Amino acid sequence: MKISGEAQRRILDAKTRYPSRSSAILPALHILEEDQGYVTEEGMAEIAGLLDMPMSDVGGVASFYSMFMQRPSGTYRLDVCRTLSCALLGSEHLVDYLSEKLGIKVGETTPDGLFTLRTVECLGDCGKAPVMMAGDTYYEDLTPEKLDAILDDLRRKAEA
Amino acid sequence: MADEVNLTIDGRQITVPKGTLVIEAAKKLGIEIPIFCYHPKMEPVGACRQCLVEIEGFPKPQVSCSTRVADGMVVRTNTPEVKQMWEIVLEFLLINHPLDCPVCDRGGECPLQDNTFRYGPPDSRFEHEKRHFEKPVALSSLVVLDRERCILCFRCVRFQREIADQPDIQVFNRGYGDYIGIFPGRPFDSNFSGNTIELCPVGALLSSVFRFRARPWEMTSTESICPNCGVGCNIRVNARNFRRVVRYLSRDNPEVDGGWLCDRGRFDSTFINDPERLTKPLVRRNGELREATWEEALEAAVDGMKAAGLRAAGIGSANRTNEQNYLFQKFMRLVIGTNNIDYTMEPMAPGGTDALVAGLTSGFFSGSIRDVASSDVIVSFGSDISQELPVLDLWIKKAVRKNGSKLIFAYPLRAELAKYASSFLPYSYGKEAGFAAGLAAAFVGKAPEQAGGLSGDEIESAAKILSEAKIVALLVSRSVIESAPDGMETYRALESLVGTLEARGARVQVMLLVDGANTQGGMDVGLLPGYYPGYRKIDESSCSEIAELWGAEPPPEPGLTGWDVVREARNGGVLALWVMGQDPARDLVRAKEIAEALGKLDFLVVQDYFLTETARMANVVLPSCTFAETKGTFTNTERRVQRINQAIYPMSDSDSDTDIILKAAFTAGAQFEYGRIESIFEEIARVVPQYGGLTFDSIGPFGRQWEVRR
Amino acid sequence: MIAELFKGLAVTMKHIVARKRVTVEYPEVRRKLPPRARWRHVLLRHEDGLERCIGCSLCAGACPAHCILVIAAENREGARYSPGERYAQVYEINELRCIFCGYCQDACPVEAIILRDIIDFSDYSRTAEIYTKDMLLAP
Repeated sequence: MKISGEAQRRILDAKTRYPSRSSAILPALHILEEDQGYVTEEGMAEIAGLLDMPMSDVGGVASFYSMFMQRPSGTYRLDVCRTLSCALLGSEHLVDYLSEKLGIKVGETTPDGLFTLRTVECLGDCGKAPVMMAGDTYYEDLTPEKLDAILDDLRRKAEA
Repeated sequence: MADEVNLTIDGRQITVPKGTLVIEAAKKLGIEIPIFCYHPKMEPVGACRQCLVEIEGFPKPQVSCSTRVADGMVVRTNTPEVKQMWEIVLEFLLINHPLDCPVCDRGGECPLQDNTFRYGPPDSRFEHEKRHFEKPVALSSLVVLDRERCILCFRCVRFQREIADQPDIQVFNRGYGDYIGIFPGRPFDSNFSGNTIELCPVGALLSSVFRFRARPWEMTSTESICPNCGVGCNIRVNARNFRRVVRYLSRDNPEVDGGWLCDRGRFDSTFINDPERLTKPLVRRNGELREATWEEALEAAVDGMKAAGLRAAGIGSANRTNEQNYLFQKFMRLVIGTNNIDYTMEPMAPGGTDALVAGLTSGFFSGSIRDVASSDVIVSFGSDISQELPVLDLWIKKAVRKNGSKLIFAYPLRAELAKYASSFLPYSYGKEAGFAAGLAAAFVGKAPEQAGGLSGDEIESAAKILSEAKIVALLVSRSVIESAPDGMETYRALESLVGTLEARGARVQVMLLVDGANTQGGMDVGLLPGYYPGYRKIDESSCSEIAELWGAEPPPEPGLTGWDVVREARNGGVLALWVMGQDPARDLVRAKEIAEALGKLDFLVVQDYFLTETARMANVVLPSCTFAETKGTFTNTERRVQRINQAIYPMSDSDSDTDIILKAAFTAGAQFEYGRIESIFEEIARVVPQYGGLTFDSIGPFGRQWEVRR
Repeated sequence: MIAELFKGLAVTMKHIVARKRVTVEYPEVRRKLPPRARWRHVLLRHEDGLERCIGCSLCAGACPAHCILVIAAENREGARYSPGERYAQVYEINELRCIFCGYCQDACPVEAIILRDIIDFSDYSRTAEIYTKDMLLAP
C-alpha cells in the first residue's frame, strides 16, 4: 500500500527540520506507522526514496526500535509497562489478566483485530504505576476492574 | 614541531604526526595489538573493543584504534592487566561464536582463531545455549552470510558505506540481537561486495563461489594480475594441487588497486577449470570439427593460412599477454607475410588510431591512476568507469567524497558516477569531437551556443569548474579517440584544452582509459595494422629498422584494420583469418555482420579456451591456456607493465598461446627461437622503445610504468 | 659332560612333546591382534546412517605422508550426507603411502575416521590401493 499524500508531505516536512537527513528517519517511521498501522516494507522503501537514504538504513533503524510494529496490529495496542515500579505493583498480573480475558498471548492480536497486547519498558509514569498505554492515551493506577472498563470503553469507541 | 607528537609506548619513545592513532604508532614500533574492527583504510569505529590498552592519566583502558596520540602520552600494552583485558574481550566475543572452525572456510586464515590462539583464554566458561540464527543466508548470488559466526566488527558495513558507497548492508535489530542484514527483497547488489568477504575477520561472510572448495593450508598462492579490465588489479591466484584455481584474492598495490577488487574480477575464477574447456586441437574434416593431434592441426592451420597468400589476416586479443601478442604479430608479419593485424574487429574512425598513437608517443597520455587521488578536478570523458574499470571508480569516489575533488563526468548516459559529478555532461553519441571542441572553446571564453548535444550553459559551467582547478586529472576513453567519428579532432581539441589549462598554471595529467586487460600492451607490441611494434608507423625506414631487429623483413605496406578485414572478407578481399583469444562472432554490437563475414572466409583458425561461436565456424581450433596457466606480462590502462605467473599446470592438452605460435612457426619452417618466456620479453624490450630497459625482474611484484614525458 | 649332553637333549625333547606353535596358518587361522592395532581406515557413520565426516580436511592436513585427499561440498535439500552444512564429496586415502601413524584419527574433530584392525587389504595394483569414500565408509 502506498503512503498517503498527507503522510508523504509530513515526511518531506520532517526532512527539512534536521541538519542531517538520517535524523528524519525516526519521525518518518512514526508517520508511516500512523498511516499504515505498522511499518510496512513498501513504506520503508518509500521513506528511503523520500529522504534519499539507503533502504538498509531505514530498515536498520526500524528494527532497532522494538516498539515499531513490524506486523499488522490491532486497532488498539495495549502496551503494559513491565519495568520496576509497575512490576512491583503487579503489572505482571495485569498482563496475565488481559491475556486471559482477550484470549491472546503477549505479542498477539485478538481475532476481531481490535487489540494487540504487548509489554514495554518504562513509560515514565512510575508515580501512577502500574501503567498501560493504549494508542496515545495513558491509563494509570490500573486494577483488573479498571482494565475491564477501559476495554469496554475502547470497544464502544471502535464500534462508533 | 606542532605537527609532531612524542609519546611513549611500553617504555619506548616515538615521534609521530599529530592525529595518528595509538595503534598506528604502536605498529610503527613493531608492537602488536590484537584487532578486529580496525582497518587502516577505513575510519575507526571502536566496535570490537579488542585493542584496549592502558594510557596513563585515563581512569579506564582505552581502545587504541580510535584514540589519537597526544604529546607526552604514556601507553602500556605489556602489563598483565592489558593481557587480561584482551583475554576477557576474546572470551566475550567467543560466547556466541559457534566454533565450527572445521567446516568454516576461514578456519586456518582467521583473525579470530589467530588472536584467540595468541591472546585468548584456553577454554570457555559459558555454559548456556549460544545465539542462533538461520544460516547460511544468501545476501546475493555471490555472498553468503553466517550470522552466528559474526562478531559485529562492522567492517563490511563500513566498507560498503565509506569506500564503495553502495550501502546495501546494515546492522539490524539491537543489542544482543544485532545482526548484519539486507533490506528485505533488496539483495546485496554491489560491484564490490566480494571485498567484504576478504575484510571479514571471521567466517561470517563467505563467497558462494569458493565455499567449501579448499582449506587455506591446501592452497598455493601465485601473484598475478586480474585479466578482466584495463585497471589490472593485482591478485593472488589460489589453487589446489597446481590443478584447480579456487579463488582470487586481492594483493594490495597502492598505485593501482589500493587492495580492492571488483566482483567481476574476483568471482571470475571458475572459467579456468570449466569442464567445457577445449582440451584437444580440432580440425574440420568433411564439414565437421574432429579431434586431431597437434601436428595435424598446426600443419592444417599453417597450410590454410599460407594458401591465402597476401589475403590473410590476424586478430590478436586484449586479454592475452604482451608476449603472446608480440609473437602473434611477429608470426603474422614474418611467417604469414601480412600486416593485416589488429587487436579488435571494432570499426575505427579514419585517423582515430593515428590520433591515439600520437597521444601515446608524444607523452600526451602520460597520467597515472594515482593522479586521480591528488587532483582537485577530475574530468572523465567517454567511459562508464563504474562498469568498464570498476576499481578506478573507487579511486574517483574516494577523491570526490574524501578529498573534495570535483568531478566533471562526460558520458552520454546517466551512469553511476554522474551522481558524484559537479558537472554531468551527457553529450550525444557521435558528437564527441564537437563536445571536446566546445569545452576547449568555452574555456577560452568563446562558449558556443551549443556543442555535442549540450547547451552552452552546461558547457560553460564545466569550464568554470575547470578554470578554478590547480591540478587536473583528465581521463579519456580510448573509444572517443579511436572509434568515435573525428577522433583526430577530439584529440586536437583536448590537446588545446590541456594547453590552455597549463598556460594558466594548472598541472594536467591525461590518462587514456582502455577497457581490456591488455589492450594497451597489445597496441604497444604491434597489434596494429598501420604500425610496427613500438608505434613505428609503417614506412620504408621503419621497415628496415624492424628488419634489422628481427633479421627478416616484415611486409612494407600498412595492413587492413579488424573492421576492414570484416568488410573485405565479405567480398573476397580476405580469404583466411587467424583469431587468437577473441570471439568476434559474439560481438555485442556487430555480431551479425562479423559472423556473416567469417562464414565467407575460406579458412579460419581460432585459438581459444572454449568452443566459442567463432571457434564453431573455424577450420582449425587450437586449445590454448588461460592466464593462470602461463607466465607473462600485461600492460594496464596507465601503461604499467605487470607480471602474471603460472599458477597451475595447463589443462589436459591445451598449450600456452606463445607455445602454439612457436610451434606454428616451426611447422611453417621459420626460425623462432626463444628459450623461455623471459627471452620473448627481452626481445620486446629491445624492439619496443617504450619497454626499453625493462626485464622480468626489474618489473617486480607491482609492475613498472612506461612513460614518455612531454 | 654326558650329563650336559642329556640335559640339552632333554630341552629339545621337551619342546617336541609339549610344543607351543608360533606360526599362524593365515588366512585359515587369524591371529588375535592387540586391542589398539592400527590398520586400515574406516569412515564411521552416525546412528541415523548419516556420515560422520564433515569434509574438513584436517586429517589431510595432519597426515605426514600426504596420502589423504578431501574435496568438500555442501549438503543440499534432498541430498544430505552428513549433519551440518558440509560433507566430503571425495575422500581418498592412498593406503600404499599411509604410514599408519593414526594422526588422522587424532586430528578428526568429529571422530569420523578410525584405524581399525583390518589387515588384509593387499592387492595387485597401485591404483587398487587408493581407497575411495565408498570403500572406506562403514556400511
